[in-house]
Amino acid sequence: MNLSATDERLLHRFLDGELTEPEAAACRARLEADAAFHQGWLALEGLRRVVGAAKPASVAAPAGFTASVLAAARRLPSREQLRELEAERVAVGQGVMTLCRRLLIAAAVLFCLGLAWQSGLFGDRRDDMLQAAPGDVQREMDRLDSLIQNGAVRPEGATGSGSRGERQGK
Amino acid sequence: MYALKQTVETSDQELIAAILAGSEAAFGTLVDRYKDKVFRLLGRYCRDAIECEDLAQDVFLKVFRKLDTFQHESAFFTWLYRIAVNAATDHLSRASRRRLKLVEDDAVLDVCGQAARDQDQDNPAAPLMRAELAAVTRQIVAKLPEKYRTILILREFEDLSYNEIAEVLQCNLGTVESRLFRARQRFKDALERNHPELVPTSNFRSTNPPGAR
Repeated sequence: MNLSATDERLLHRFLDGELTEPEAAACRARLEADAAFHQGWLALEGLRRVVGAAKPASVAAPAGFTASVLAAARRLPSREQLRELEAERVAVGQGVMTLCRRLLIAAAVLFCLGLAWQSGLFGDRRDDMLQAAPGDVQREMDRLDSLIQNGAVRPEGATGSGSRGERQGK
Repeated sequence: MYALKQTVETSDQELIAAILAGSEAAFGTLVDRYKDKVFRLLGRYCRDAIECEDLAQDVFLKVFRKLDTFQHESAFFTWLYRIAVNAATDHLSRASRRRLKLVEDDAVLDVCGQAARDQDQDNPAAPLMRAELAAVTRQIVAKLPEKYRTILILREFEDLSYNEIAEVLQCNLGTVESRLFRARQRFKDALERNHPELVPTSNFRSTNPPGAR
């Protein structure tokens, strides 16, 4: 049996009684004329019978079922109370959602600030500062003093002896 | 127990209006009207009759609670079936790894057996074969993915039309058609794999003429 998918679907709809009367009549005519189509129908109908084998004849609810449902329904809150409870539940849900949204926004802002901090956007201008222990500072000061006293270094703003011309070798 | 019983002729819409107005008797009538159908449907998803009863009670209580949200856009029974199918599939997913096991109610099997005995008096082995076939079918249906199992149950066991299935499952007709097609294909594949002797061939003789809507 080699039926196209379209033909197979047509057979399914035919067997399920989903075709209109003109469509079903056309299908019946084709079943008589087309052997492959007819075989496909037989196979599908057989399959449906196998599936239908598990169908129980009837199932009845146990006695007293309705009474037990009504008793349980009586224990339920009244319809107005149910409505109020539902409204309350929705309100609580919305409150939780709002809180979650705010927390999420705060976390996102903090994350962005952290990224900016890491990338040096908020520099602390400490790059031009030297860090040294007081002993080291004192030693350095002493060294500079001795250099000044020896005349190797002239302090800023101090004028040297002699005129500008002499200093320039003129 | 409810004192006043509505007449059978009372329409679903009238009953619903009465329930919303506070009539317990109307709710009792509605439960009476649909309890067997709901039991039959839920029976495909439950392990035993007790589980089935609990689930059916949950379904009707949910109907009671949600009745004011019923829009009357579809038939009441399709809305009820939708709640029942959702409850059944939720129940199955909660009991993870538990596979569908159809209720094998002795009384039900006896009814089937009696009908078979009437038909097969000249073939004593026929009822046994029928029972075996039913067991195999149940096993295969149980192992189908949930969406295929549900659509097969609604179509083959509950005899719902494509339109009604579409309303129950809240999908369009094309989806129903293709899903049912695949469900049958999967069923056939499983049958061929596990019980090739039961696969119907084109030699299978039909007794019913093909019908139309």
